[in-house]
Amino acid sequence: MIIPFLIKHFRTILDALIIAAIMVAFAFFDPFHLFTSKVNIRNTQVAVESIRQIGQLITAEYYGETIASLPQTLTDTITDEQIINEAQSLFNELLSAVNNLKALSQGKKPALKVKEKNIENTFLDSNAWLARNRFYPFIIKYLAGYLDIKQTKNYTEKVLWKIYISNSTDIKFFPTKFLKEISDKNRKAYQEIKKNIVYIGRGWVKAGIDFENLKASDISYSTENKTIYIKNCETRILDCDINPWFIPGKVKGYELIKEKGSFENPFAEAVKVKKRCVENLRVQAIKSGILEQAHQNAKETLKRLIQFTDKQRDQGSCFYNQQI
Amino acid sequence: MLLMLVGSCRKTDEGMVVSKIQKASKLATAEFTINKAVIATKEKNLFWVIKLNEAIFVASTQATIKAGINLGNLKKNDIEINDKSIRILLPNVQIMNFSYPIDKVQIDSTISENQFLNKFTLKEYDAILEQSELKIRDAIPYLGIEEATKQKTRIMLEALLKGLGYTEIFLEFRKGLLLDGVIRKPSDADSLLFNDNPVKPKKS
Repeated sequence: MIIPFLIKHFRTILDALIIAAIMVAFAFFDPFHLFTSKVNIRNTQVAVESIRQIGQLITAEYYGETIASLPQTLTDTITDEQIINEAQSLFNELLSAVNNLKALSQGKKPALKVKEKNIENTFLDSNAWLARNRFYPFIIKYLAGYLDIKQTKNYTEKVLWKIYISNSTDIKFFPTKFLKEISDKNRKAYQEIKKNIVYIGRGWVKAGIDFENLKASDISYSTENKTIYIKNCETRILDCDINPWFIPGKVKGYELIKEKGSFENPFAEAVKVKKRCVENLRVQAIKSGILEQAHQNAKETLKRLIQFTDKQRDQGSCFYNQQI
Repeated sequence: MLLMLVGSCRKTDEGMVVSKIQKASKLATAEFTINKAVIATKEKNLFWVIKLNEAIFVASTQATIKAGINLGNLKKNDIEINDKSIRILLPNVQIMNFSYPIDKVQIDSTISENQFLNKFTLKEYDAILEQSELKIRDAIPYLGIEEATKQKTRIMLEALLKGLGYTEIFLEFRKGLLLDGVIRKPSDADSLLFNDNPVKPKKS
């Protein structure tokens, strides 16, 4: 019952399907910008979760720019099986193309017949797509070895001519022998970078002393040489941040440079890249000498603070910050 | 050809940042953890009027703010010492660090949903978080940061000065929260929250 109905109204159903496909295509590509989209962000509350007492003296600040991409840019590794399948297919098509050339050449005038000197050009005229295949040079090399032809200047011509004049069924494809033609370098060249996300990150790194572990017993004063000793306060990176804004409203902290390919969860992949940006910024700051600068500045700041607040140690005191 | 060449050139929006290390002497005494829920919707409309579908993005985010005082603004004239008594006029409370890390963004996967031919792009996610950061920054003067930081700073400095032998310690702060180089006066909300003489409700 359904089948006669479908047969009877086949044309109408087909027209409806075509119209639906066109509408979906229009919705997807939207060439005339008929389908508009707008992002609305709702106002939500800002709530203080906790307040904590800390004691950190920031003595050096570094700001800079860094770049990062997906740590593992997803690549396709080409396997031996893939190489063999593709090469075998090309091999068969090449032999078939040469046989077609032979068939077409029969019955033609001698001037128009295929000869050794013009076989390569004639072959490429009608089979250029075969020559564009990535394995074409290797198939020709393989055939040169199989047909015992030296790889001199115009050996492609000689290989094609030998196939043309001989029985193509006698020419076999041996996968293991062919694989020897493909070097590791060539295999890597066939890997494609399929997906990538690249971000520029701009942020701050702050270094100094954290007094969190400092106790009263860690501070001592020597009256002999008028020196204050403080331990358990080594200089370290206190903060390393890249926020959405570097300068609020003016300069962005994260800037998307490139997005290639489609991702199941693009946000999660972007988070990986952004975290990498933060790590790169930290390394950059350390290489720039932020810790050394922070250590030097910390000594000066603490000395100045003690001198301000302790008149007895105002003149002639020097300050030494000891690391553990 | 010339028109094409001219038309194809466009200025990029990226700002250039030169890296630099700068000296600082900032004492951070209080750390605030701030939560903000981010809710964004993306409508797909036909002819700007007919709503086809709506994608939704919901995430909880967290910012960390460190506040304290800039010791570089402390001058000798701000300190008065009389034997065992010390009086210090401390600089304005200042935001030392604002951190809005990407790894603290937790998407609520039960509510967040993309629709057919209507997905959030990476640029849209970034724009949503940029807006969210600006909202948090706008709310900073009204979160009681100034008063809480003053309390924490007093605790820390009193312990330090007692250790140096002072018995009478008077600490005063310059009024206002220094935010992005601008002094913001405390709001009514702040002054009610930290009033030493709170107003008791009248009995009927």
